[in-house]
Amino acid sequence: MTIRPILTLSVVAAVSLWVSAQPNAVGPSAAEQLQMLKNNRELIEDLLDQGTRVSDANTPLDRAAECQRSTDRLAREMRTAVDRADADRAHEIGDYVERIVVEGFVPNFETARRDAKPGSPDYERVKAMHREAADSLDKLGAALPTDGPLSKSKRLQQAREKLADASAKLGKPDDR
Amino acid sequence: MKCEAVQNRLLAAPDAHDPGAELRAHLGGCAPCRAVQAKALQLDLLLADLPAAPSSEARKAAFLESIQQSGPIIRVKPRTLRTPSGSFKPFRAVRWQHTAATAAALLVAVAGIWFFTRARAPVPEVAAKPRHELLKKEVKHVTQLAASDSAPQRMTIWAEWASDLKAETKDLYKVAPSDDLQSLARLFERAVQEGIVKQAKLLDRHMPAAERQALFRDALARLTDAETETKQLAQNAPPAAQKTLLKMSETARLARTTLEPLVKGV
Repeated sequence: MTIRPILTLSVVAAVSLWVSAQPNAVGPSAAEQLQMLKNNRELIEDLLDQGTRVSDANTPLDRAAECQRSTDRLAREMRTAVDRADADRAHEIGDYVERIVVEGFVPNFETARRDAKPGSPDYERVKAMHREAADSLDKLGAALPTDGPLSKSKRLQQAREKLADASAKLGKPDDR
Repeated sequence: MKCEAVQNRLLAAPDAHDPGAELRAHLGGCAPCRAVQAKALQLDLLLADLPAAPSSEARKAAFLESIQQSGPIIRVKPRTLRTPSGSFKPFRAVRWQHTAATAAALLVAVAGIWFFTRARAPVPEVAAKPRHELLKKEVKHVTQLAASDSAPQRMTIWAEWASDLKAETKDLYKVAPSDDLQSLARLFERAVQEGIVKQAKLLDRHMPAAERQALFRDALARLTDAETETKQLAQNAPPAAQKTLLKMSETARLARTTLEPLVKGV
């Protein structure tokens, strides 16, 4: 008996571990996809509902308001993920919040702010909307734990960074 | 036989004069061993000439008692390295021990690496779960709708959204319970009616014919595809899914028949 079989087995075991740790290149199985649908069904229905509202909104200010409602819905989902200590889900929802804020809310809000004349009802609405959106993001960021095991999760840190990016893009309200 | 072994046996022999036939054969052709034999004989003679100390029965008894009181000199029988056949193979045994020691060292090293790596990680991160593509696409569509400010753009987005819902249904119709499928069918209907058809009706009636036809081409193709595919799937679907798939097919057909006159701006 020599050391060669042991070395061979060790190498095979190490390669097997490495291969099994690789992400799945193909999509999820039907069972996994069904589970995802069940988990997301309510959110998917709500987002389609939001889609129709955004679609019906005819002004940038109205579209920004509907984006804010979509963000609020996602924020609820993110809090649920935090309650369940599901950092992966919080990270996923953080990506979606950032996308809707940066690509949906902010461009419409900027247009509405530019178009609103000081003193007009729209101007006051723009200011209120800015405060509300900034508060919403701040509260959501504060809902992410800063101590305990979950706070050290890399994915939760990434979710926090996404929210911070969205906040930065939104900018601080004038009266802060 | 080696000289060293012969010389050891000579010294151990009770009579160096007659060491036995085997040794004699070696001594006949080996001068160095004969010299050792001569020294052994000389030693025997000298020992015989040594004066013996006076002795008595009492002294002998005391000497034997002192030996017995000290206990056995060899308390544990040493284990010999023997194979089942009884042949002595020290070299093979030593190699086995080396292999075992190497394996143990490897095991300890792997365990050490695992332990210290694990200890340094603040939180064990599980592998990222795959994300639900439909949800991801919905977020994209909401964002696209927010960025679009015209009916043609929105109609295109809704046509894509309806296709995504049809694709999800196609992936799951064999395994999903009927309530999940019905939910997808309701969402498909809303995307078609409240999205595609509603935006189509908002189109400017004075839009140039070529532009209008290009706009409707994609939506009509997607609706036709959904209508035929869901009908085909229903043929081999589980009974619970058949009704839902046929309903989706009907939704697509109705929308298609509503849109076709609009292509002409009627």
